[in-house]
Amino acid sequence: MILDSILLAFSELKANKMRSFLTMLGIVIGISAVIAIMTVGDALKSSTMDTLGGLGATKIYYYVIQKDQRDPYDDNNYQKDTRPMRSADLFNDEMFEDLEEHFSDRIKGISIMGAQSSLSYSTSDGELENGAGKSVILYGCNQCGYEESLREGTMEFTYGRHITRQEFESGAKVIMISEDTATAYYGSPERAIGKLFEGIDTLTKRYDNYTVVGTYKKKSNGALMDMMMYVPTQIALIPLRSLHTFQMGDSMETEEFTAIAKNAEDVEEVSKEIEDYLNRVYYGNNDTYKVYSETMTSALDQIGSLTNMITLAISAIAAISLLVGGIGVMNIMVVSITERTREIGTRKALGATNNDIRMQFLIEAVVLCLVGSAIGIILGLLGGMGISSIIGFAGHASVKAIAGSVLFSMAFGIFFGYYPANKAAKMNPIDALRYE
Amino acid sequence: MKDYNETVIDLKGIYKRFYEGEPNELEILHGIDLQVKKGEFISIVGASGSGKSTLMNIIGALDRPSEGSYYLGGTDICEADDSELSHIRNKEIGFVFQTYNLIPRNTALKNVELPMMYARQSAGSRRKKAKELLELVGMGDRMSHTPDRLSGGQKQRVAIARALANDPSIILADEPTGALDSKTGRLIMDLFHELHEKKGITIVLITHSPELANETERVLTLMDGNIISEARGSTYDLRQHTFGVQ
Ligand SMILES: Nc1ncnc2c1ncn2[C@@H]1O[C@H](COP(=O)(O)OP(=O)(O)O)[C@@H](O)[C@H]1O
Ligand SMILES: [Mg+2]
Repeated sequence: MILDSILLAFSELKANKMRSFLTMLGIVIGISAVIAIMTVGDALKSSTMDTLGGLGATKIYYYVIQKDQRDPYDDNNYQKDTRPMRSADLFNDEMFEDLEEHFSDRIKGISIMGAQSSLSYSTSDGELENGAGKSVILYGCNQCGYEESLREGTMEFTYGRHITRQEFESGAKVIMISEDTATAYYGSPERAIGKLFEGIDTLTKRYDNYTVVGTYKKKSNGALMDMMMYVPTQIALIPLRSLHTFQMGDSMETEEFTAIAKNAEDVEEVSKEIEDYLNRVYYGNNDTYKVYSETMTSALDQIGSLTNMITLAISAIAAISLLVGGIGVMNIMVVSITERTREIGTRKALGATNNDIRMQFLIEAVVLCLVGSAIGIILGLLGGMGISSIIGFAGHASVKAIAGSVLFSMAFGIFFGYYPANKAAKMNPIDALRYE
Repeated sequence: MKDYNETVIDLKGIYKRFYEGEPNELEILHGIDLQVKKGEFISIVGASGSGKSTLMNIIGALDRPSEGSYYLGGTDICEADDSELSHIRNKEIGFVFQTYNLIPRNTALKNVELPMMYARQSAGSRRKKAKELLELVGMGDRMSHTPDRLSGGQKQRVAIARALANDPSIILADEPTGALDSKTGRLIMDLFHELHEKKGITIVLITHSPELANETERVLTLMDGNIISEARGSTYDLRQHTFGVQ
């Protein structure tokens, strides 16, 4: 009986292909949107987890922030008129050595890599200009920071050699530039190796030079990750000490650093321990500033909640489209039942009970919704995977989402099919048979 | 002359009014008494609008009388609820309509299976029975045709097979030949005779044709909602002789 109704529903659907398709459109769009979002959302989530997590699972970021701020992004509690940071408010060599010793069993090292200054240089066919020409951003880094970026980060070593441990310790005037910079300055990366890279330091306004030991190029982690972790090719890596010895004697000070934990598992714990230690030992007497730490996990949580919000918003749009689709289904069922009034009368004359008729039209509405949702699932999967592959990651719609869509559309068919089906069931057989 | 004793249809003082209680109330049947015995073949004639179909619908349990009593094979139809009426229509009555009323897009076989489906018979047994019935009405070679590929006469044969599906106690045929040419109508009428004579099926036939009506055992004439005459079909006995059926 139910099987017969299902077969009948399909033959009705086939008999009115165009109409059925237009009716299903709302559901197709709604379901495909939901599935596509889920697929893309999954791609985003798993890829950021994979890539960021893989790259940064052991990284702990430390910042100096104002005492009232919750985190560096907390603008509400940021005091504009407070005193600016002084040398004593910054992280320094002494602290790093202390941390490396005190937490030697928990961290691999302290990675420092950050913009310290920039150097404007003349290209091979132009004169040296003061700040107006091309420039590189000088990233002073310690060995740990250098290795982190080149080993598993966003840069890939290409020509020449690496900066050595001695060079990091002595603060040798050596530099690693991008292939782009090398090409602009020397014509090609190969030709840059061993040459002098010279220009005007934009901070000190003085002439400065470094020997090029190697070149790097950007490493792609997929379009989305590249966008999120943007590395301008103007970056040039130099030993931190080379910059500082030149600029302000032996002290090495910075507003932020990264600690590399030994194990990814207890990274949160280590993060807090070091934060507490620094705040207790070094910032206990500081009237304005304190230390804040952050791990990839907490950053990922933020990305996660962002994707969830986007998902929610698009789901709301999908819900509206589903609602419109549902009303369409109801409408077409009313039309279909009116058209088939005589058929309903005949079926009743042949012994169909009100329940039989109600069931038949409910099944028809459910089949309509299910076929619509099946098309929607296929389109959504294709669309979602298409978008995911543009972003650069494979996304999978969860089985839960697909099963949910199927169940939902069945419920939907029942909900919107009930009124017309009931109307058909309650028809008086005589009136139905006499209907012209 | 056959001897019938079991009453199948028992109508007493049947009134039918439409728009009851409203200013435009319309009384169509004014107290009809009618008994039909098991195995009888009767016909109802009368002008258009005289209330033949209205009476037929009441006999067929499609509609309830406004007043009066109706027993079908011992069951009080006036007291039955909707689902009991559905059941009675399904098991006890086979309808044949002037406009065939086959379900479009369903094959002849599916159409004949329909009453058995509503009787919750298994797919296998109803298929078998439907095939037998289609053979019986001479439609064995067109079982998989949909109604749009059948002629009027063929459609009516399928409809008759469908009416027989659940071995009903009566067949109600409302102008079954009305939409057919006289030659095809003749063939359909012969089929009714065959079912009546060979299978002993009770048949109530509404027709406009006096010739066809006179082939039945009893001819009732309806006029403005009253049975004004009742007569033995003038050619019924002749037919019995000619065809030599008991
Ligand atoms: N459901 C109905 N509502 C209102 N009037 C009806 C209804 N059914 C039949 N009638 C009226 O009853 C009268 C008899 O109709 P019907 O029984 O169909 O006549 P017949 O079949 O003898 O031609 C007609 O005047 C028709 O308009
Ligand atoms: Mg009529």
